[in-house]
Amino acid sequence: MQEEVIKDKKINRFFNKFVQSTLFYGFYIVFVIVYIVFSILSKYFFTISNFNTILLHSTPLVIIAAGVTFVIISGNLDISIGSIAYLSTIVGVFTSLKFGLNAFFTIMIILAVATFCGFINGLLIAKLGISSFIVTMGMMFTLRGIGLFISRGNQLEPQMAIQKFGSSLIGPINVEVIAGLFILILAQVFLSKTSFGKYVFAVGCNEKAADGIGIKVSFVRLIIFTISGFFAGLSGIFLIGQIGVIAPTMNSGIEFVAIAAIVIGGTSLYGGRGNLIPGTLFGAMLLVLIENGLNYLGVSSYAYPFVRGLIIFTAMFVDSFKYRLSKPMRRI
Amino acid sequence: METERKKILEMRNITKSFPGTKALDNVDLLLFENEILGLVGGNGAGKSTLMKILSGEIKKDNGDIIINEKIVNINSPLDSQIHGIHIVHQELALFPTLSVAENIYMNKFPTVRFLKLIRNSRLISQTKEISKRLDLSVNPSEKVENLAIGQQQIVEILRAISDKAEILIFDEPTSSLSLHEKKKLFEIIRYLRNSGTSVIFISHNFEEVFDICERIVVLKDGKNAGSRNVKETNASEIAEMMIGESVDTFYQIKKPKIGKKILECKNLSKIGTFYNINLKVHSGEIVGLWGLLGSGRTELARAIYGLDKFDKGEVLLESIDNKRNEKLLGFISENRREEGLFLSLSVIENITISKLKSVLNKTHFFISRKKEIDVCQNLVKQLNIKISNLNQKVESLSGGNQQKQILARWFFLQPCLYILDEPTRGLDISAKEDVYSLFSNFTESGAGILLISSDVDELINLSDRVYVIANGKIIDEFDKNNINRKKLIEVAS
Repeated sequence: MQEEVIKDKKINRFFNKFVQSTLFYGFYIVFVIVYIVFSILSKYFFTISNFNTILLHSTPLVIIAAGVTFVIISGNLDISIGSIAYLSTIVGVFTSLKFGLNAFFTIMIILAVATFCGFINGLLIAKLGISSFIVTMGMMFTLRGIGLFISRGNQLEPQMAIQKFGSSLIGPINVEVIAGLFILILAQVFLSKTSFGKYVFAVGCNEKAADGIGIKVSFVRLIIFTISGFFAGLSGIFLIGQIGVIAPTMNSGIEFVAIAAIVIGGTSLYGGRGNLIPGTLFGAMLLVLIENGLNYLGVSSYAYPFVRGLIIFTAMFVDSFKYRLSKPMRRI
Repeated sequence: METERKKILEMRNITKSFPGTKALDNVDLLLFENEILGLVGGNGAGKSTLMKILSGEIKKDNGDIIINEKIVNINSPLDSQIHGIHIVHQELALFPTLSVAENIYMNKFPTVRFLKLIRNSRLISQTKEISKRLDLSVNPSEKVENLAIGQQQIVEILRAISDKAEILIFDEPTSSLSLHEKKKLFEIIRYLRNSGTSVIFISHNFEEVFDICERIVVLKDGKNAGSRNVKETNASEIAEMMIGESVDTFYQIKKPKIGKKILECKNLSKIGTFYNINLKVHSGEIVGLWGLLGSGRTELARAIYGLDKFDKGEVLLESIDNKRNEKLLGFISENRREEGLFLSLSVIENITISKLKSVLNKTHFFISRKKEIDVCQNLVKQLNIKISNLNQKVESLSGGNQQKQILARWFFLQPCLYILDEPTRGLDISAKEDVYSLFSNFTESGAGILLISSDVDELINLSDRVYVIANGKIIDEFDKNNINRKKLIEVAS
């Protein structure tokens, strides 16, 4: 009898481990399967030039999601990033055109405005103690409004130098991709190898405990949202470099695509766990990959949001399932 | 003799008021070097408040804190840590998704100069070094969420030691430990004392306090109620100091006659948790279920109540009389805050939620406020619960009153069987006494009680029969007449 108990427990543990590792690696398996399926269905999909396209199109999403990954690991949410990217690029390009500044100043202004917006987010959340969802939702509308007011709802075109940045190559690979990857690696090192990075995890895990051992929680939060704003601006630069124009609807709805990419990459919405590489990187790439593939298959572009919705549902379900699995372990 | 020892900490005339209550009223506390001091008192006596003031989590209104003969200002947790004060919380203050080493060195990572990157190898070797000092083996890179509670607690202790703690406060450290883990913890505490740390040990459990402490300070209603050397006192004296009256009648509750069978489990099994469970509960009977943490007792209770599924066997329920539905059961979870209470709702709402149908007005659609109040006032009177205001939010009640309020909720439902999982966990003596008196209300109404408890005395004195569960199986059954402590403890471990 005793042996039976032990044996059952072993089987149970083995099963749990199996499910957990499947959930953990599941998303990479899906990534590979999707890639193979599209490659079989379309002869144009599995080519170097298309691979470059996928990389290039993923870059702005990866960058904007990288900033939000910090926010989500700390147990907060930032849905103002799309509007931050819009407003900062509008302000940067608008002032440059008006005063005849060169591309370098445009970029600096964009980054400064975006970082400042993120800072304001952080200030409101940290000092007033309002929930991050509410604050950033308010900012989402407000900043978009200011941007539309400045541009009068018109499209703006950035300088040629910025557009060139989006289309120049180093070897076979686009400059933006290399720059994006470099920035992503720096961010990952910052997240996993510095004290501040660990504070981000600590605040996301257990805010009270973090406070109890002397971490300045509100300061950490302030910095996290500032980082998120900075990355939104950066992603805006990358995006206008590729598209060559700032439309009034630029990046609207990107917040939730970014969150989806992050969650698909294994970062928990409950806070305290996650990473940029490979998580957010591959999460964002998977979303771009699927839309790219559907495009080659000739699927109507109106179907994309539907497919995206399905992917997001699956990712959220897996996330909650993972959380449920790990919970009883915590209670032993 | 006391005057010879060096005072390491002195708290003088500490006063703290919260809106509506005076939590601490001129409380003094003395701690000598290399001493293990027991701090006891009922719920709401002010132990936690006093310790939170010391650890900088809340600010005092008045009074002085003197460390090493110097008056110090403690305004934040950081201040208190600078003065060598560390607290091991009852609810552990850890970061479950991070590693053991990261948890220990969170506020003081060893870094390289370049970019202030963390030196991982150093982090791990330091962790190993510090755990070796306590003769412990921990894996520095293991994630804390994968550790058992006892080991998690050790991580918190290691964190305090790594900060060179001179004064270490343990707030109810044993409440969720197994016997073995408890022994290990006591070894560590004694070792720390011998190596120069002073310890303040907060506990409800007298046995533990007498086991490990040298001196006991008692608080009652936010005031000093006295201090005794352990060698010169006994448990009943301390208990009297705590509640201000004698405790002879502690476990005496009225017992009705035992009637017909109301619950029978036949070969109940759940793979990996419990096996071939056969047990019976009769009307008017209190049946104890004794087992260690992790023996399957809680899982069994949840399965009987229907919260979890089981794989084999059956649960048979029978009604006491024709009026009551035999499927109605009452259940008290061991985690009352997470699984029992609606914290942001009022006392009334928490009680009537179990049977809202009976407080509807004539339309049978809206809830009648008047009926609710009538029902609750009756219950409160009948069960002798001291709740001043029925509209008070439950989160602002003390642990004892919260528990009584959950018990009232189930009594309102009038089930045939109550399943109580650690109903007195974390309660002080006087609250326990009140809870026991509720038990007699339950049994007098004809219901049976399945009682799970880690408190041996409670189980022995209240139960008519006791089942012993270990490794998911019932290994023994004792009658009221042949139960004794020793047997129970031996059998289970």
